[in-house]
Amino acid sequence: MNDALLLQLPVLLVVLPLLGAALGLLVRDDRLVWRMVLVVSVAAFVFSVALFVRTGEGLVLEYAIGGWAPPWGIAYKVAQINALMVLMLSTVFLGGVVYARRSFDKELCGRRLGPVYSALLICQSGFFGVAMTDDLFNIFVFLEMASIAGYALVASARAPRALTAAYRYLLMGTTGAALFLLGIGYLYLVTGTLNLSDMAPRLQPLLGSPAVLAALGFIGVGLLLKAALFPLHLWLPNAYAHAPSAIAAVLSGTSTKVALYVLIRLLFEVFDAASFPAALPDIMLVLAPAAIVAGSGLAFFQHQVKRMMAYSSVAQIGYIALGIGLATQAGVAAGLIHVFNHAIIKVSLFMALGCIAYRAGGCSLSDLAGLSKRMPWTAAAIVAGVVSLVGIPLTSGFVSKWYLVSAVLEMNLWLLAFVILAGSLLSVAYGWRLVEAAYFRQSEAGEAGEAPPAMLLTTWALIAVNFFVGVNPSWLTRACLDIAETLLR
Amino acid sequence: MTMMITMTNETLLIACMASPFVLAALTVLFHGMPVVRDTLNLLAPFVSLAALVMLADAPVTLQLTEIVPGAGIAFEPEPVGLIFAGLVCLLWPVSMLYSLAYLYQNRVPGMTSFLVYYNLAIGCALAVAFAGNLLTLFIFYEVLTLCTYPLVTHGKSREALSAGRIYLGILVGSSTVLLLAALVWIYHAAGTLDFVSGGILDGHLEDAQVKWLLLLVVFGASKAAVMPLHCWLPRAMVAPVPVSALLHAVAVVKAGVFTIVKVILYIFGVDLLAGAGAGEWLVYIASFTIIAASIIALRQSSLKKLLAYSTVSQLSYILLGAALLKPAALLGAVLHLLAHGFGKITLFFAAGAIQTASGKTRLDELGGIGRTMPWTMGLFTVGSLVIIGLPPLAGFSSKWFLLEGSVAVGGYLPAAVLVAGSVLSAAYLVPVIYRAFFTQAAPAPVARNEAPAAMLIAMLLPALMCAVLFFAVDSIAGFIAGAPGFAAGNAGDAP
Repeated sequence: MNDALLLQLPVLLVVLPLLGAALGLLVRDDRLVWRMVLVVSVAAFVFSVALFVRTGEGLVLEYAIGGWAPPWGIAYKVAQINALMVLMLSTVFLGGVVYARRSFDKELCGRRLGPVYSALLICQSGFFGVAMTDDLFNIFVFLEMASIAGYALVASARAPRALTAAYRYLLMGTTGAALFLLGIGYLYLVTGTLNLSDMAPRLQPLLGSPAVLAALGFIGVGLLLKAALFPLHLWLPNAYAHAPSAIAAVLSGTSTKVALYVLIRLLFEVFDAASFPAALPDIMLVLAPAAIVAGSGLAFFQHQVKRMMAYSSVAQIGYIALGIGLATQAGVAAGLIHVFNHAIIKVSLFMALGCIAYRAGGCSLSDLAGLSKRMPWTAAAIVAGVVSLVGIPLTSGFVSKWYLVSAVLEMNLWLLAFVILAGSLLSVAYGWRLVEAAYFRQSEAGEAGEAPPAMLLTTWALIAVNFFVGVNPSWLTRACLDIAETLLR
Repeated sequence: MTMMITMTNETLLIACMASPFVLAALTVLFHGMPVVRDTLNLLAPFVSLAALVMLADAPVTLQLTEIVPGAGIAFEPEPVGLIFAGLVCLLWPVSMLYSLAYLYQNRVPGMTSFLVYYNLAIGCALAVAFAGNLLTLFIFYEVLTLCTYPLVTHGKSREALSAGRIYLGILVGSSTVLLLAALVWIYHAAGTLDFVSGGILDGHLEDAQVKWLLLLVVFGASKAAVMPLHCWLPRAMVAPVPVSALLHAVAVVKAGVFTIVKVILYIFGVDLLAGAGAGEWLVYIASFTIIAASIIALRQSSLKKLLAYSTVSQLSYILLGAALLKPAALLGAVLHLLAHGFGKITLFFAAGAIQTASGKTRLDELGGIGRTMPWTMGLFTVGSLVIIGLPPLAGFSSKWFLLEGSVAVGGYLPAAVLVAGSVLSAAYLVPVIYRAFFTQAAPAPVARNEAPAAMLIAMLLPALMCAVLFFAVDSIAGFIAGAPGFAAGNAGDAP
């Protein structure tokens, strides 16, 4: 791809989905809207691969919106970390869109799908914007754009309980956003700039000041609320459990991860947490093990499998937060690796659950009975997902676990290492309930046959990515180590 | 020319390891054609065996992918690994013959899935045997657990399900928590996970750390069934007999012992462990397991459970030999890996034959069974003699070397334990034989009711191997002693 076009990619990634969203409201033919969304998502995926490859070579793309030079105007900056995020997001969204058509047909039948697809595109555009913008206020704007679209998407499910779940999600998400904005305000007050590259050096002499500490506190709590780090996770289980399957899949792979990504960038690019003794990483080091144990423990007692997977996400977010909290290169790299890997693993699991819901109409443990006979491929997908969550070698989960344990042992934190490793045992405990239900419980009820091929194939495509990373992880790990090195320099 | 040779050796190594996996795929493919499926399953094992024989100890390395910097999936056969691979490759065709006979005779449902997982497990065991670094070994060690889980729970009964839970819980639990922690620790200390003659940790760890690390490895590799992490093994006896025979007497449990031996030889190095005095507590744990498991075996009422506890006890013979850190003891340990493999599989095959022919599984039902099934019980006797360690069978040779090694150490404990273990094994095996041949269950006329010919042949071959091993022990011992790790032990032993 030539460089002139490459320079336009960042802004195209944000604008194209936005345009698509507007179109989606105008066109009344659902099938046509889906095709357009698919085209946009494929384009975004291709763009993101191009960006990832080129930034991997050391290229940093900068784009000044409207030609206004930074730090006055809004600038997009795409380095390796941004490209990695965009790659992850576009992969999840592309998978989600391919998967959504048949899943929506079943779960949202009778509803006009144009607005739903539009919300999906707005969400996509917002997350891409967060991933690429270099402007702090712009991050807030995009994050809210994506979040509000996310609330709407959760509420689009037909079950009445989805409304209360979405409402709770909205309340807590908005609280987080308000705190985040407050923090941004403080930073703007003391530095007079919103551009991140500009802000970092200006903030350096002010790092210990009360205003900056307050900013860090507000931003930290705000973002951790959006990232659902235990005990700020209360919005997550219901939102994922009651959202339409395709939406639960997409959100599980994107929304919390993006908040964590923003946190990583602010902590290390702006607040210089690697050398400045900020309390936030230490707090995360305390909350993360609690998240791992509590999330997995709560997952064990769920009967609703989507809720179980949601609690599993709470635990997995704990792993990511643990890596970030170490505030070392190895730790941040491990956190980033797991951001990517967990997104892929959990999305594929939610998709497999969606396949079950498509046939069985629900997704409780009893709906899984006899699954190995009725839907052998879906059952196998569940096993693959569970095994990856546990971190068995040759899955991407193992790669995450290895780097995380490495990072912890590097600091001689043996207790944390055993929490991480024991956490994988807890995931065996809840994950194996699914496997036993699918393979050992018999049931005559339930429609025989797999979900539509598009749904099943997307699920397995993500599982293939998962195993690919498990067997050949060096492209990802090297990128994440490079990113962490740049961040902590 | 050299290029050509390496190419061929690599191909042979791949052929040896890949044929179980290919066979598993073909088994799925020919699900609907039992004749083709069964023929393939009978023939394909010979591909591995032939490849292994041709490979012998030709030097070959195979690097596939990198998972962490400097360590990935790599294979490099060395004598100890080749011995383990040889054990698996020799017993695989025999077990296939036995399995098919067993599955058809007992009308076990789900034959295809049984064969698939069985072959996958064999493939993983071979990959463990050939692993060129600890990471590769760990990877296939873990996958092996997952492949054998469906076999343990094949019956789908409530008992099988709970045995499966314990199986996964203990095996995955110990390996992901302890063994993986050990791996990461080693990687951090040494910067590599390669198997190197003389070890990679020399100068990187303090003596106390060496002890802790060995502890993590021994309890992490709980497939070796060291007490108290042995309890998965007796529970796993709920699986069909061929699984208990090949996997839970040979492939799976030996993979655990093999892991520990490899780590002692090629990660720690014998000299480092001897210098740190780290082998000592392993001697105590292994000794305790030998005696305690034998005593529990005395109290069993089911033949398979008795054999399972006997396995727990015999596995610790191998660990004891490795823990003594003397060349003779190490040699004895590797020989016992072979001897116990051949002997115990004979015993399990016999137990399965009795179950197939008469439906009897409890010890108190076995009165007079020697008269109705003389061949089966005759071979059972041969297997017992191997376990007890009497000549002219392989168990004698391995125990001889183990004793020699323990005398070289100078303590009384190891030698006493070895002898006591043998006496106890006689105490739990001889009554079975006595009851079978010299008591009568009911005064009914004795009718011959022998197991199917295929089963008898499958039993006969490993029993013969035990005799072959006894007479060929010199050449095999020479082959094992060629392993680079043993030379390091010799150096430390020189006066």
